Amino acid sequence: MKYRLYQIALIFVFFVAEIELVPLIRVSGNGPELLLLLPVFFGFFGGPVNGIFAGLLAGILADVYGGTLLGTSAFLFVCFGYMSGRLLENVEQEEFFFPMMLTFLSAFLYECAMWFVLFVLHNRIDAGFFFTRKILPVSLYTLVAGIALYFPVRYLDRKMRAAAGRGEKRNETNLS
Amino acid sequence: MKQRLKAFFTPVRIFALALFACIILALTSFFSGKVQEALRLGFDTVIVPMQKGINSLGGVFYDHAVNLAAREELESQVTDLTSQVEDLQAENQRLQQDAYELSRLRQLYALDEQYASWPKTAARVIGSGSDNWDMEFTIDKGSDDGMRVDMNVIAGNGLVGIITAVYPNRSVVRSIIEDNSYVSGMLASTGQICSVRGDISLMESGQIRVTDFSADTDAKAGDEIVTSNISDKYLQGILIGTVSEISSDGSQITKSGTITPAADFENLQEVLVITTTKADLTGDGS
Repeated sequence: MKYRLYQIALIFVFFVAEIELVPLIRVSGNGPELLLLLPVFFGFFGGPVNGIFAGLLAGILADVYGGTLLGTSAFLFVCFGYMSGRLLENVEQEEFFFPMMLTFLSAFLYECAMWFVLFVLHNRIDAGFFFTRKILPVSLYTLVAGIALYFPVRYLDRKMRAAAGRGEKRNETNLS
Repeated sequence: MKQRLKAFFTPVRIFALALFACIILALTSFFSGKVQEALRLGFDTVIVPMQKGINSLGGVFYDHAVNLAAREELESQVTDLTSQVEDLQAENQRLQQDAYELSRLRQLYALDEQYASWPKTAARVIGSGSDNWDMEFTIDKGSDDGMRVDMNVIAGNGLVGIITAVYPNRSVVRSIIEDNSYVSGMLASTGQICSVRGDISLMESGQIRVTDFSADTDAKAGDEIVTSNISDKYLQGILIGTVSEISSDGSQITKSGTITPAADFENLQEVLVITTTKADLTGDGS
């Protein structure tokens, strides 16, 4: 329970950073998708259930303040959280490369989905522009933000895990 | 019982349940905006005061830095300006006479006051679009301050956008440079109608696309584009921007090009909301 509260608090902090800080560090209109980092990280640290939980919450927050239909980002974030939990199940907790790869992949898929929902469905394909000016820059920027935030989040996560008496376990399956 | 529940909630089942929840959310908000609205209202009570606080804090530091830098420049400007004031006072005298004459002539012609100054309210920009794909921004006044959907928003003397959603203590403004924005415009000098559309590929260069000029138009670079008389959302005669280039389309039937907006979208801090809507003027209030 205590650990869940910590997760909710961290998601909220990332959400505030996303709407307050990211506009200040945008480069030619592209900023990192901070909220996307949490499902991937929590999925890696705590297994699929934690990833799904973070994905659902972060996704709904992103939808409520974004321009898309409620549930779109939540759906994708839940998938990323689950994917991260499942794919990285047997990866060492000290590993740095794999979670970062997954961060980039998730951001890339997320931007592609946004492009699809917002433009391709309205018959505005223009793939060259969107790939070089929107999708790739945002994915890379998210990766950079992920690299910068990975160690602080991991440090916090271990502290909170120890405080909540959860120990080093990642294939948790219960929701409490 | 508890054991059974535990056994039921395997990660895969939780995953499926979460996805199902998302789809239900999407469907409900697709058919009615109420869910999204309720959620937003809930978050607003927490977020908006915080945004205001952070903004005013940032504003204090920013103002301080600007003050220091600008002081010397200002002092030299003051001397220039005092001499300019004298010139302008003389000119103003002359213009007042012109204005008096104009109003007298208008009365003679019984012209409506088309371009009367509309009542405006100032508002502060407290947040920009929260993702990479749109250019909406949020202002700190909402329905409690008399804001309504479809009110036009200007900054300086240029059109910025239109209010698309109103909450008790904030409103969402869709800017004219946003991709799905459409404004009916006209050439200020001749009144030829054109369409002004935001375009995401031009957003970076701060331009907007203008299309649907008829081929015989005399629009050229430097001409002013204002909101047109036939627009049903925008009040007539608000400056949108100046034409920066224009060329014939492939069909030779229409011309299109780009315009530079008059409002500075990079540094929007305060905007003015015109509290009269076009629907009020035309009498078919929604």
